[in-house]
Amino acid sequence: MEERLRRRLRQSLPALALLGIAGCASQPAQLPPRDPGGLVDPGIYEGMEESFKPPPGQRTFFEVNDPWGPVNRKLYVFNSYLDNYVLLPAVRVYRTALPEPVRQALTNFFTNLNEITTFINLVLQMKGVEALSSGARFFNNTTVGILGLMDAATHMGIPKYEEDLGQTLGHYGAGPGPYIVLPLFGPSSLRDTAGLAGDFAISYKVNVFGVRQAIWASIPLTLMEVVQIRDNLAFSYGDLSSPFEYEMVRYLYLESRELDIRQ
Amino acid sequence: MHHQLTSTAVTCRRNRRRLPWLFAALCSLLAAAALADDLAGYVYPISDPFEATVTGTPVELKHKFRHKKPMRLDDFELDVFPERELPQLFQSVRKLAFTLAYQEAPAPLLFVIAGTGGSHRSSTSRYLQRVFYQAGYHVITLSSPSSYEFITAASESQYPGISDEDARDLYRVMQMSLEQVSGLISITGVYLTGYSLGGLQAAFVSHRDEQEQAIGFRKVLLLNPPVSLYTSASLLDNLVGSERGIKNAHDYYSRLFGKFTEYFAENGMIRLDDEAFMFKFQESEQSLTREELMALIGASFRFSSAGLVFTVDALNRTGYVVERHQELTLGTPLEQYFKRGLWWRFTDYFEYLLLPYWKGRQPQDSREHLVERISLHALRDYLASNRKIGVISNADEIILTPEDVDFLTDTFGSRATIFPHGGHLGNVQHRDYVARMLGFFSTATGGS
Repeated sequence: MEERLRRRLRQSLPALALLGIAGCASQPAQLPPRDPGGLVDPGIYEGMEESFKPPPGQRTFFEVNDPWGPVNRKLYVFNSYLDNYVLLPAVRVYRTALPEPVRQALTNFFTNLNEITTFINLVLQMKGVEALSSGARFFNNTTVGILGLMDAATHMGIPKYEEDLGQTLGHYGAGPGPYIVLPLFGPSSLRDTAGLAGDFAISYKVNVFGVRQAIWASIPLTLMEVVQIRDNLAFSYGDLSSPFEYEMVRYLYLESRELDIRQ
Repeated sequence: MHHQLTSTAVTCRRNRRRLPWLFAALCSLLAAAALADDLAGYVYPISDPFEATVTGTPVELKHKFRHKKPMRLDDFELDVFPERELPQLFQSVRKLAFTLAYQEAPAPLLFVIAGTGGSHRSSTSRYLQRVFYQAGYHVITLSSPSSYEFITAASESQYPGISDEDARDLYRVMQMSLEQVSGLISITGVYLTGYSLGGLQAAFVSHRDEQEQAIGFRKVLLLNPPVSLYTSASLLDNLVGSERGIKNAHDYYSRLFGKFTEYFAENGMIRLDDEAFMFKFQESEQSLTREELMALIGASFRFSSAGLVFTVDALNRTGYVVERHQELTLGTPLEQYFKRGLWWRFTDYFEYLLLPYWKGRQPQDSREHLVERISLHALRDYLASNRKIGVISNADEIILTPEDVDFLTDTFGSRATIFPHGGHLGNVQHRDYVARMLGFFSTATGGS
């Protein structure tokens, strides 16, 4: 106990010294004691609840099917730490170690590999034209694009789609179910989690020269894939700079998934 | 008066093609008189300030970056109040993060203070960081004192909004950050800027610096600052609706999202970093009406104020948003607090949290006195006499009244650049705006 106190004091000494130099060594404000009691309405909340009430069936920021909220929130924070202290530093190393053209080639390679699940899901949704397009992309990128390292299909003007099993389930009427935050993978729903597991199974079962199987058998290659995926995500935790980031991300995730499905 | 002259000049410019050269010359003269500097070359196609605020600058008028080379960036954390006790919910922001973009060679350093509720990684901060990095500066971006992470980690009183106290908090953080990066970079001089609310705070930080002399800013530039915090807050509140309650808050927010949803459904998913996205959107069937643009801006500021009100209330245990007995852990559902936070207006924050806090410290101070004390009016003489401080804003700035624009031109004189159009920072990426910023800092003190 005493040791802990001493350690804390030692840690804070440099900062306190700095404050002294700055000539503002005044004490930080203390939290007032927590007196029991509920909400103090300054007289402004009248009509609020009715005003925020959505018409039946509409999703809002506030009323979302999130029965595992408390666990989800903790996992959300866990993910933010994982991101800030593991993934983003790894991305920085990745960016320093590999020049842009190499990183682009890797992204193309993994994207091309995932074309397989997109193709299968388009077939499952009976979207013939899109499935043909996806198949053509895979064929051209794997051959002309040299094992997918180059995105030849885009240069040829073959449109790109991204479909997963969660979307396929949604296409056939499955609702999202409860919201779920997955460790590492982030925002999801019961339906999309099932879809994700299914997509993994499909990827693993479909054998194209054993490439996918070989990647997942190797820890370094799997890690490289994870870092590559992270490198291509625009979002980072704390960007919204709001204590309500969890609520905003949850809403945006669920809304954007519904959009993906409707397309 | 200056404001009216500006509009005249603009009208002239618009018709110039059809006017004889003599008339054109007269126009230029008028423009020069009104704007102190000749901004005759300024082309900005959006005359509605709300649309300008939302859509920004057309790609072809944007400042062109010379290199594609990525910035050398590093994130740091400051433990400003190591002894501070915080609810578990706020533990992840107990230290204040800031970002440094650094040059290898010795270089001047620029601080950038973010706008209302903004983080050190907000898009405008990042943009300014890139502009000045390419111009050869080290750049440190700091979160706004009104952001939840700053309130939690670095605000002494945890009641942001008292401009002088915010400046004290910022000044402390700046000194600590300089200390922290001093081993990594070599600094030849320190400069300061801030946009929106951060612009007003930059003025107060500079004023404090004159007294404490711990940093010694060479030049200070305010970008689209409010003149009176209270006036700007009221103007933004009014965008959401002049009455206290939004008649149907659900409708209000979902209608805005609905339009975007519809657009995505018709046009396919867009890349969010698509620079021209808002322009394409405004040309589509779903384009927002003037009222909707106002609502969108109002709503986005509401999201900031919701975070501000919740954080201040939760940390000070005032019990207005979070029940006093409520523990705030990582698992605590926040939906109800989010809702209450969105219900508060900026001016409610002033009435129910800021004013009582200030009365507790200065019981003899009146409400009007506080409104004055947190505005740029409080620094009028300092701003008028100090050649190292400049300002850039727009004549149609939505957070300013015409009198506020006059205050800027009267106070800053030739150190004020007032573009005729651009709304609130809609033109910050405009080549002329960027040229003004860079030009201001590159000229020696006193010149411009």
